[in-house]
Parts: sequence; structure tokens; C-alpha cells
Amino acid sequence: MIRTAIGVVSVGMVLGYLLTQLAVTVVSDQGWFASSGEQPQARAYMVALLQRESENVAALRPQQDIVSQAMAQQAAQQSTQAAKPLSLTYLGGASQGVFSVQIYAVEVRASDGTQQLFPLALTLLGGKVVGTR
Amino acid sequence: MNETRANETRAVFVLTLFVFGLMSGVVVNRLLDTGPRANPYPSLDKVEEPQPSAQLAGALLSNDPKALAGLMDSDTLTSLRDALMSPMGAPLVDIRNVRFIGATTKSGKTLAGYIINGKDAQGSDAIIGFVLDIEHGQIVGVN
Repeated sequence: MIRTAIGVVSVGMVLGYLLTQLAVTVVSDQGWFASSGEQPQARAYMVALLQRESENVAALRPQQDIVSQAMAQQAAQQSTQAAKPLSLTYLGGASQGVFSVQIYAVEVRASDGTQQLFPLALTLLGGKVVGTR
Repeated sequence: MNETRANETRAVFVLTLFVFGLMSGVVVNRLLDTGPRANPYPSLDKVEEPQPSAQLAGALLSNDPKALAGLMDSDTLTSLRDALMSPMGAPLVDIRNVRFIGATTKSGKTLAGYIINGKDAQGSDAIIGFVLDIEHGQIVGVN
């Protein structure tokens, strides 16, 4: 009897965990209930970008061919000495359908010591960054 | 009769345990979710919507090319045209809404972010984000 009870509770727990994860993933990817507010994927992309984590950046992009991935790695390596991030400010964002736009302001110190403030607008589709500008 | 009642009680008990397990799974999932990645960098203070960018937003919303032409030079207008492309790569031809989402400033340079909703040249609903670069009260760049 106790073994059955433990089994039923365990199955329920695993199912509850998996269904919740599935629901969170689907809601996030489809952009439901996300008309405004910062999206976790956008934040993760920006932090990975500024910290030159090319693998994390690639994971948040749609699947790319091997040459594009190599070019992204090269760009990340070349920018390592180029600029030091000073601040990352989320300006805002909005969603429409499956698309979401998230806008940030990035402040960096260039290798010559000058500070620059520039914007970056991310377009997300299904939880992936499909465009940066 | 007693056996039927015992079976019903057992079924209700098993169902209760299952629902309890299900709810526990949901709670565990939420507890283990670490949330979005923390921002390790400081954020700049937000500022009010700058007047030049508010005028530009008004000109876009009221479909007023004359007002738009008076607000920026030809290079910046070209940048704005390039910025008003839908995610599908088509120009936005029917602007329904222009919304200011936030601005920040540093060392005399202000960045003001906007979201535009409308229809692109292919007739699809589109959402576009762009940022205006404002220095000394003038729009000097569009991203």
C-alpha cells in the first residue's frame, strides 16, 4: 500500500514538473502574456554578448551553419581587447504575435580610453534572437 | 457493497495522492527555476522622453513627411528609412502605433527607444524597434 502511494505521488510529481516546464517553454517561445517587460532570453543574450561567451550567444541564435559560427567566434575573440562593457541598460520592449523586440543601451570603454554609449535592438522569435541592430 | 465502497475509497485516495504529487511537481519546478540571468553590469538612469524624438514619433504617427523632413538631415532620414524595416525585411508602409519605451543619457548623449506597430509592404502585421540618438537637442542618428 505504501509502495503504491509513493509510486503514485512520484509519478504525479514527475508529470507536474515536466508539464510545468513544457508550459513555461511554450508560453515563452510563443510570446504569450509577454506584451511588455524584459524577456529572459534577451537578457541572457546581452550578458553573453558583453562577456564574449560565443557558445552561449550561439545557443540563443537560430541554428547556424559552421562557417557563420566560426566567424562569430572570431569576432568575439577580436573584440576581447577592443572594448570593456561599463553598463547595460534595458530601455524597454514589446511583443506582437511571435515576434518580440527588446532594446538595450550599452556603454563601453574603447581601447583608446573613450567611452561610448550605443543602442542594440534585439528581435526575438520563439525565444531565439533572430535579429540585432 | 462494502467491497465497492472500499474500492471507491481506494480510488479517491490514489487520485488524491496523484493530484498531490502533481502539485508538488509544479512547486518543485518553480523553486528550481533560477529565473533570468542576472545583469552583472550597472544600469544607467532612465530619463523622460526627449522633445525632438517625441516630435518625430508624432510625425510618424500622423504620417507627416513634411514635419519629418524638418526634424533631421538626409543622412539621418536614410537611417530612419533603413530602420523601419519589418523583421521579414519589408518596409513598414502603414504605421498604426508609435510607442516610447524608454530613454537614457550619458555625457550629453541621449538614446530614446521606440516600438512601432503596423503593416509592412507585404501586408503582414509587423513590430519594429528603433532607437534615436539625440545630442544637443538634435536627432543625430537612428539605429
